[in-house]
Amino acid sequence: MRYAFGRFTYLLFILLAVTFLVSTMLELMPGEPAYIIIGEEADEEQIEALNKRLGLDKPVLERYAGWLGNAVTGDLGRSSSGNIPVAQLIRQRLPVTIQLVIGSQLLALAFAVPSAIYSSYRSGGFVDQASSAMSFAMISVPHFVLAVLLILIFGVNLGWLPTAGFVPITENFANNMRSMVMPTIAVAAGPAGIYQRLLRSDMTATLREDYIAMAEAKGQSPTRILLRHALRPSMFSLMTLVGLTTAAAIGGSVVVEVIFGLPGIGRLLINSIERRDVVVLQGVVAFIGVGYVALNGFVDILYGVLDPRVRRG
Amino acid sequence: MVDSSAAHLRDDDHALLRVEDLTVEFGAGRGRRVHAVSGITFDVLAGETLSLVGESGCGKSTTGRAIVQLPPPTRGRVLYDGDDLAKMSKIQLKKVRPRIQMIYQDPISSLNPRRTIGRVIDEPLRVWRTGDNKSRGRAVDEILEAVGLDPSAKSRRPYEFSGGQCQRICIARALVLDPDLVICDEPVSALDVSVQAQILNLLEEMKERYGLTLIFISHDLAVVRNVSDRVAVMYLGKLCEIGPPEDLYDAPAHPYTAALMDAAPVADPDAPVRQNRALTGELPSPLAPPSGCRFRTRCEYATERCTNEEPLLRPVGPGQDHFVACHHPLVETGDPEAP
Amino acid sequence: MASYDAPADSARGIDSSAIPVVALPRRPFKRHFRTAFLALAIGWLVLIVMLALLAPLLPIPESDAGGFGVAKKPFEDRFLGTDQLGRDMLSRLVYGARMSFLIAGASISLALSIGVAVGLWAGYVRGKLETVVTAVADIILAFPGLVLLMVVAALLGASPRNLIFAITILQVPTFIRLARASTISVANREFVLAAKGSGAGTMRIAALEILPNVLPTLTAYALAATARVFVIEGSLSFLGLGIQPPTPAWGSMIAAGRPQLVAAPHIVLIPAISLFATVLSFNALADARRDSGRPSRLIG
Repeated sequence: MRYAFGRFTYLLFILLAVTFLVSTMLELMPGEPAYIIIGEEADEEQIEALNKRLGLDKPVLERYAGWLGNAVTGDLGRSSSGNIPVAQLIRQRLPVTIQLVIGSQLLALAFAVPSAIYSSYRSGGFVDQASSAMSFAMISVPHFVLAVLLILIFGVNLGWLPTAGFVPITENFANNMRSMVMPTIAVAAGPAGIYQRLLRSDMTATLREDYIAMAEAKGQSPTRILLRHALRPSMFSLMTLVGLTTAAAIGGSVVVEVIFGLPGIGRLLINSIERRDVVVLQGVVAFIGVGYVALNGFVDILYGVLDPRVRRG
Repeated sequence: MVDSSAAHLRDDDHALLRVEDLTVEFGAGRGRRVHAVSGITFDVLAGETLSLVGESGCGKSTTGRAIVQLPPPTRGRVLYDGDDLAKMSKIQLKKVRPRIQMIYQDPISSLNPRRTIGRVIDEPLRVWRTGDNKSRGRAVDEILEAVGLDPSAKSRRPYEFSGGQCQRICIARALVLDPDLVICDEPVSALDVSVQAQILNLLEEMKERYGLTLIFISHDLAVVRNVSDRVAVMYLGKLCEIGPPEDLYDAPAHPYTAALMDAAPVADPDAPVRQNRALTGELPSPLAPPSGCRFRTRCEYATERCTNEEPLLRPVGPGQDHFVACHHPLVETGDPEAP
Repeated sequence: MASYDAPADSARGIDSSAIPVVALPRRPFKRHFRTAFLALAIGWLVLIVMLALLAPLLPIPESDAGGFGVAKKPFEDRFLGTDQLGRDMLSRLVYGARMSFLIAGASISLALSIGVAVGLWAGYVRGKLETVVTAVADIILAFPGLVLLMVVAALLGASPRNLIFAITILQVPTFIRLARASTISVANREFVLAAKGSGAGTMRIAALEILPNVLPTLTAYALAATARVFVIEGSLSFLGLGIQPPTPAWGSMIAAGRPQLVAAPHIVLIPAISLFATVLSFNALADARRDSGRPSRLIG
């Protein structure tokens, strides 16, 4: 437990550093913030109004403290256009992104785990070689390329799936699935390849261990050996990897959301960039950053709790 | 810490190396300390071969490394040719380094896998900028031949050689700076038996040819007997017994030495089956070594005196050079005051 | 040829010098396939890099010449056809490659150099620098890279210099981490001790003993990282946040070609396939580099 506490404090420190950087982002960058936002033709009045609104006239730490205070209570400011609370915007968009991220991870595992198990069992065989080649291809294809190709094949040529638009899961399950299939595949491909390769090489190494031969000699069935004995040790590294990749998938899903027109966090981010809506931008980036750190940290702590060696090491 | 007496030290003028009250301790977290070496004292005369023997964990390897200050000992003096290495500045120490070299246990990991043999042996010369490329090349060729390797090996990498050959390369590297003292830390333990003999012979040859003084660290008693002028037995960081090999092997004075000798197999199927003086118990932890005599927890002759009072090295036996640190040695001591 | 595990074998009484070290393929076919594949990868990279380097000298039109054209399929008029504005696809492909390779090459080289220097120091000399460095690395790594890049590109402008700068900063921490971990494990090996015993100084040991043993792992990773940077840069230009028009970039070509996906798919496919091939090739190289560091053994 002391380990968890130590890691937690460290993570908190990182979180603070990250959010601090985000909220002072504008000042860190060269150039007058007002020019960046409004444009070169901003006049005195506009600059002053902007600075006041964004609190840029106050000292950095004070501003950060204020922002942090608000953020902790859930107030991330309001958008420049429409004056909608940022927190609300995020809340609206979050379910879509979560569905995309979680769905893609599940899909990736659904591909990776069975094929890795079978490949390690019959290593060198057709399934092994085919899935290795596939995995290699999958980690090499950029997700936006894959997305565009999927649209070309399934959306345009075959007309099976809609090429854009999103239907919430609460409205119509089938349509929701139809609009999410391609995006999910696009985001899942990379991680699927990574997981498959890692798990396969881990399991092949484990299968060479003496205790597996022992289990075989005892007459246990291959399925039992594979699932109970061989899979176990690899679960750790796979778990950490899933945690890390889920966090990274947040970034990846941004592009996919744009391509498929899904109203998620990624789209929100792009929109705020296009509109130069700094408040929203800061809020979203901070949210993503915090989520990322929290997820990685959670995986770290979980790993430490489950594997005693990590703690003492 | 009480250190062993100086009775077994010899005339200052001829001692090339003298170690006094050498102590090496490491922190082991949470305030505990590992007492690897606890106040040992001994000397080595020029041209002598001193062997340090003992079980794994007795501190012999640590002693070897402490002598070359890698890392420096916690306490004690290491007098090389009269100068205390432990007190030297970094620059002074560097200047002395070429004169004391070390050969390690694992010949393959002692060599940088990404460099050619030629460069490996050449490197010490380059560090000291000795001569130019031509003269260095000749020196390398010469030393390679001396250790029994063909100079064409210069362009090859360590993984192309066998264990025994790698050890030859390590010996070559150690000798290229023309040292006076060479510390061999288990130099043959990682090699096949047939190769061991070759390397040991090579070491003997090199000692003759280059006038070396050797400190030979090993756990293999059979190996040690043939090469040593003097043998020192260590147990749990302390020196138990020291003397010429004939005395120690044929008439050991310390119970631990006796047990070690008994445990060593004799390569003679017709030899009578001996009654082994078995060692009882387990090796105590170096985190908390026993008080008084450290061997008492496994010794059948232990008395209360052994718990309370640490034995110092005293002369023993008929010879001049045999010393033991024991309250109840197996051989008559030459000390009239002993009980 | 000596086996890799000579000491262990000696302890077991095996004369390991008799067992050769061989990388046995599962089946000969697979072995040839892999080598052929690797050759293809290298070939593609050489080709595209050559084209990129020699771009100004090649007999191809300017990448933005046209302007009033119509999309033409490959082989109709030009080798690779034209895009919807009549611009020559081949020249756009080549000039886009130029940019992408510049950005990827510069940022990875920088990240590698900085990462190795700092990581080596942190791992060998350790001390306070190490703690500071690891903490800073953790903070940088705590961010989802793409997001940060988008923000920087949007707010600061997406000049090649800015892009290189930002991408380098994002890659450096992992290089530092890898270099440090490698250094720590190498520094414990006996040949480093032997070098110290010969009187070598810290700098000398770091450069001559430790660095050569750390570099292989790092170069393997650098190749994989290059592949990733290509994807990142492609994603950015796809979103319009990367290399700005009129300079062509594969990502923006793909984005621009989307409306024409049905009528003229080659506008999207040509840069898409090129990007895929490039990333694939770098990954193949990274794999090969990594495998060559560990000789496989005959077991038993």
